[in-house]
Amino acid sequence: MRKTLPLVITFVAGAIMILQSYIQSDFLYNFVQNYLARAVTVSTAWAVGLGAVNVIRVHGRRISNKRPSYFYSMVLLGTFFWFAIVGFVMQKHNSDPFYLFFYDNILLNLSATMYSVLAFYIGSAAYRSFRVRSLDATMLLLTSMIVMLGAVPIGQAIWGGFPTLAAWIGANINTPVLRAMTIGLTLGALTQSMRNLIGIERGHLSGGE
Amino acid sequence: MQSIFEKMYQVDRRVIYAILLLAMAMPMFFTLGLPINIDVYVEDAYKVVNELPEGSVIWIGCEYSASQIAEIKPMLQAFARLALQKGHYIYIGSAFADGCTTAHNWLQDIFAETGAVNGENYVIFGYRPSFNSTMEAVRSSVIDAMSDRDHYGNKLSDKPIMQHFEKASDIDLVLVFDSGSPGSDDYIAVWRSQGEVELIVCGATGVELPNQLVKYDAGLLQGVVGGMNGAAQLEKLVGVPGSATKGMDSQGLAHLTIIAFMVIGNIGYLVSKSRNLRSK
Repeated sequence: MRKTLPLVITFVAGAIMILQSYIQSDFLYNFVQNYLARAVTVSTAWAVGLGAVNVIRVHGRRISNKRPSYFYSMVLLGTFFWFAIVGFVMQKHNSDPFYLFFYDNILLNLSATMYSVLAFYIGSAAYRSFRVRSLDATMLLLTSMIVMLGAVPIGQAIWGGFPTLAAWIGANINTPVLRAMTIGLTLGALTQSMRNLIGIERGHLSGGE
Repeated sequence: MQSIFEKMYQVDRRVIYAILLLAMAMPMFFTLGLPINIDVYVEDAYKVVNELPEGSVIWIGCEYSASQIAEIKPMLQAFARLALQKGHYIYIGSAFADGCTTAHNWLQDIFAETGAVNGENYVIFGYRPSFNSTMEAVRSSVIDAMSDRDHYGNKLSDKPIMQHFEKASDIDLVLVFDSGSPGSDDYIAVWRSQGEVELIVCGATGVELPNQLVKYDAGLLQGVVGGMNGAAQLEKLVGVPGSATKGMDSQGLAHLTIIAFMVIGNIGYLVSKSRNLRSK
C-alpha cells in the first residue's frame, strides 16, 4: 500500500493533466483549475518547509559535532532564524523598511557579489582552456573572440563587422545546435515522465525497487 | 629558468584577476562613451510595448533572483517606465522568492516618476511557489490563483486595476525576465500554447540570450532583450540612460582584457611548443 498508493496518485493526476490538454471537458478543466493546481501549490509549500527542516538538521549537526568550518554553519543558521524572526515574530512584511534593510544590505549585495565573481573565474578559465591545440580548439577560440567583440560597443568601434559576424554565428551555428539539443532533451524528459507516470521509475519511493 | 614565452602561457591567475579588476574599474574615472547600436530583436521588443494601445494589460514575470541585479534591473526599469508612460496597466508576479521583493525595491523610483499608484496603475501579486499550477489557475481566475492577496497582504478584489484583468486571456503582453527555469519556456507552454496570450517579450540574462534567440527566430517570442548590452540598447530606445549604459564601458574593457590574455597565452604556447619540437 505504501508504494502502490503514491503510484496510483501519480498516474491519476498525470493522466488528468494529459487528457485535459487534448479533450474539451468542463469537468476536467474545472478539476484541474480548482483542485489539482491548488494541490500542487500546497504540496510545494510543504516541500519548502521540508527543505528548511533539512537545512536546520544538516547544519545543526555540523555545529554540534564541531566539524571543520562549522562557523559558517552558525552564520547560515543565524541569518536563517533572524529572517524567520523578522517575518513571523516581528510581523515585518517583505516590503517593510526594517526587513528591506537586512535584505538589501545582506542578501542582495552578497548575491550580486557571488554572481560577479564568475567574471574572474571565466577570465581565468578562458585564458587556460582556449588554446590552439587542434582544429576544433582553434575554431572555438576564434568564435569566442568574435562573439565577445560583437557583444560590446568597443568591438564595433574596432571593426564594424564584428556584430554582424557574431549575429551570423548565433543564427546559423548556435541556433540549429541548440534546437537539436532541446529536441533531444525534451524527448528524454518525455520518456522519463512516462516512466514516472506508469510506475516504472520508483526511485522517489522509500526503499526503491 | 622559464623563457618569456613559457611565462606567457603560465600567467598566475591572481595576475589575471588583478588586471581584470583594473580594466573594469577604469571607466569609473573616465568614460569611453562609445555609441550603442540597436539589435533587431531589442528594437522589436521595444516596438511591441511602444505600439500597444493605451490601457493594455501587461503581465511582468520577474523570474530571476537578486544576484542578476546588474543585468535585469536596468531592463525592468526601462520597460516599466515605458509601459507606465504609455498608460498601460502592469501586473507583477513571480515564481522566484526574490522576484517581487526586488521589483518593489527597483521600481519605486519609476512609480514616483510616472505618478503610478498601487492598485490603479500597477499591482504586485507577490511570490507564488509552483509556477505551472499558479499559471494554470490564472487561466480561469487571477484573483483565485493569487488567493485574493497581493504582495503586501491587501485584498486584490478591492483594487480598481483588477477590473481590467480577470483571467489569462485578458493579458495583452507578457514581459518575462528570464534567468533560467521557470522562464519564457513555461509561459509559452502554459499560456501561449493554450491560446491565452499571443505576445511574449523576454528580458534575459546574457547567459540565457542564445536560448531566447532560438525562440525569437521561431516566432515564439516577439522580442528579446539580452544581458547588460541589451539593457543599454533598451535604455537608448526609451531615452533614459541608466546603469546598463554606464556599465558597457566596463564590460567592453573586460572583454578586451580577456581576449588579450587569450592571445598572449596562445602566442606563448605556440612558440614554446615549436621550440620544444625543434630541440627534439
